[in-house]
Amino acid sequence: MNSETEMLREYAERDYQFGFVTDVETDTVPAGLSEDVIRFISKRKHEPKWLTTWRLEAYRHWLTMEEPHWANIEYDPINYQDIVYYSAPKSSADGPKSLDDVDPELIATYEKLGIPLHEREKLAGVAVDAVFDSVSVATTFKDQLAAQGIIFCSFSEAVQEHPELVRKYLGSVVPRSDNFFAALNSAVFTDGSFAYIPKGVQCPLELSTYFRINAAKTGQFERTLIIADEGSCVSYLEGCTAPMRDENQLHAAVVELVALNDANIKYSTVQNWYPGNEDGVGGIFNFVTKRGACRGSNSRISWTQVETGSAITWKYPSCILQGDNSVGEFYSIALSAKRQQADTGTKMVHIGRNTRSTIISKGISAQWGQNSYRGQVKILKKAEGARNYSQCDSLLIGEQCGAHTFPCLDVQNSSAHVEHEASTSKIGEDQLFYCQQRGNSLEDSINLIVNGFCKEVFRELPMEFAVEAQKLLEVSLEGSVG
Amino acid sequence: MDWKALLASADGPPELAALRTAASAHFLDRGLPSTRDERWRYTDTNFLTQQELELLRPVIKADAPAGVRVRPLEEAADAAVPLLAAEADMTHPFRLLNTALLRDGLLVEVEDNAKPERELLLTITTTSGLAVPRLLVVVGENTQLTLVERYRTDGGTCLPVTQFSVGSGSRVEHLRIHHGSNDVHIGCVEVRQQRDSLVTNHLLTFGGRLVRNDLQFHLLGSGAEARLNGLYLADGEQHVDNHTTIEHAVPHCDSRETYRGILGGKASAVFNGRVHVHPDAQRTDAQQSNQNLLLTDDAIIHTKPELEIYADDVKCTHGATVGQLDREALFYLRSRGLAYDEARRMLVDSFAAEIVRRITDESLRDELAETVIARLPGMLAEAA
Repeated sequence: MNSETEMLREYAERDYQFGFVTDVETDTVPAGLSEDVIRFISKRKHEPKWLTTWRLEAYRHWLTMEEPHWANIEYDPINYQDIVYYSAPKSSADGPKSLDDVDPELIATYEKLGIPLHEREKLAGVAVDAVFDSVSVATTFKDQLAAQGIIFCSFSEAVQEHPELVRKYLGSVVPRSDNFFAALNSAVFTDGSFAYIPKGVQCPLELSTYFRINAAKTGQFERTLIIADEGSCVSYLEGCTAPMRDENQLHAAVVELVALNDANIKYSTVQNWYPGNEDGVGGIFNFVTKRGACRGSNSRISWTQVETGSAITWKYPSCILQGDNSVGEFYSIALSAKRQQADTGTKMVHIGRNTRSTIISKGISAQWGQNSYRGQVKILKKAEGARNYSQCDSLLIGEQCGAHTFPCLDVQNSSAHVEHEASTSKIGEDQLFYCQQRGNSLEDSINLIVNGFCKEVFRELPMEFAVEAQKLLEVSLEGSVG
Repeated sequence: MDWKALLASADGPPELAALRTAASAHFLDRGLPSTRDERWRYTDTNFLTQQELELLRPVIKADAPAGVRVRPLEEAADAAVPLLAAEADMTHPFRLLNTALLRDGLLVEVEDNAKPERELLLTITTTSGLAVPRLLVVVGENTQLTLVERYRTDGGTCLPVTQFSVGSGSRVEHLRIHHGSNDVHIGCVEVRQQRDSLVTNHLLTFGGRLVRNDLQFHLLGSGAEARLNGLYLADGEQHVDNHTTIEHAVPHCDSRETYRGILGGKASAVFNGRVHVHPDAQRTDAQQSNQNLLLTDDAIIHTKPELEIYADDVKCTHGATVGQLDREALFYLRSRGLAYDEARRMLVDSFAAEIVRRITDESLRDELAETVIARLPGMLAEAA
């Protein structure tokens, strides 16, 4: 036990590996939120008038809303007037045309994070739309995608070049008035990713974005919109790390997915933002609204997430299964160590006939971490033959942590089959003993067991991501065991 | 309903006056729960405000075996006051109402090491109007008690509260059976268990316009074990809501919860089961399951099994299912020559039997199995 305690201390005191700040000149508005700031953002981004109005309406609605406090998380009140709502790397004002034009310091940041864009281009075959603070600085593989008619660009670009698509789908899945944070995002979002896959096209690459929160005190408000037209197929990767900082940073993103007839969208996230230090100081507040609509029949949306970072995670990627025979999936691993708090889960709304959904959620709590699964499965009256299977398992490591499950099943159709299962346990002494007896160190044994615990979710991740996620989990868990 | 006037008119043993006044003030301050309150989201009780209710005394019939002392609250007020005061819940609106109108009820006592030969039978009969019976059950150490609490009614509103205090090493089996049709029944059961005690609760609901049961189990001594079995049958426009909470406050306690529901017609049901494992309650073993059978497309079920765990060395599982009769099983039975109706009845009956068979007493078990069977043809005919 002694050596374990030592190990615990050693790792608990370990610093956040990706904690560094890149010194880039930024051009920001003063902290605070008002209609003027929104007009400034909108003007700065040369947005059409309808979008400015759209933002202002969202802002006005937001003013009437109250911050939700039903989640099982605790934090100091956020002062929304203290946040800087717009910041763009200055050197990008002219707009880099290629990777060579990109600020070398930014490239250096990516190198430190282990995302060499050049290499990725060649090796991984991943098109990276890297978001550095609020403006996209590099977009790769665009030509190859364009040849197939796929649109993959930053959100601002999409507003300029494909306003009809943006106007048609923006806010159609997550309405402006959906919730407090979605309304805030709708008012002040600065950039994000946009993807459109035309009819019958199988996207040849895995689309990917790397987020980074950088400028001090800048809340980042991402907006992602992915539309898969009839019979198309796309896999999208999202991953993030953030530099160390002592002030809580707010992140309120909105992700909207639309799948038409026979379309297939796979959305994978690896989230590794700064979780705060062991006293719970600093760290990112992550309040995200993610929702996918299976509009067409036989469509399918699959969410996979690995959440290891953030001081607070408040996130419920959901599926609205409107089309007949549509499928929704949610695979999640949420790790909360140190003072991290995660309240995450999903919502599956079955509207169409023979709709199916699967929920696999794995929560790991260590040290003082608090992890909650909160989910809702709703079978509406017309959802003949709907089927849901949910499984939520929690693993507890340490005496101070907590794991909570709040599933909610609402069934209004007798032909529905809904099943929910959950279990909570700690790593068994006998399992550890068995592994150690085979010559593995304690640390390795724990990794082995945790990886086995999470395997069902890792399997759903694209190859490169799975490796990264597995490593992340190991790093985040190291030392929390004792 | 003018609550203020109703509460002001309350009378009863003077020893209980202080409790009544305090609860009354809390209730008037708080009022009835709204559907914005998460715990009352699917059960709207505000219609009670619309109707005029007359406070009526329920008829409580007790058939006590030797070794069990049963006294009306009015006669045993002195002994009851400290018990009531120590465990007063000032948050639950209907418990408050019960306390604010406290008069009718029983104090049941079982002495240490007593061995009652048979079960204690209580029948509480209410008619129209409002009834607020209270049962206080104090079970000593190393003893046992089987308590059958039966509610019979043909309308009206009943807000019963039953409180158990179970001493170390005692075994209690508690049956709470509600036979209703057009009544409102909002009941609370609170159980406090000491070391190595075992309490088995069977909650059977056979309909009622609106039935709500709030069960709270406090496991306060190591080795305590709680078993909660529940069965609810509802059809027509009936509504059944079961909220259970099990507080694992100390290490080494077990809880087993199994609730099953059969819903026909336009019935709606709510199940909310909460298991709360406190920070030091290591080696807790908690299992919870809720299964529901929907016979019609108009029936609605909201189920929410919750686990809240603040200790690491625990084994906790919960499960919930909602489904319909298995077609394969139906086909199998019919291929063996059973008529469609008969086959359906058999399957539904066996679904319910899983709960009924857990009752220890044979004659009670048989009687309740009969009650289920008698109820089924109507429910199934409506569903067909």
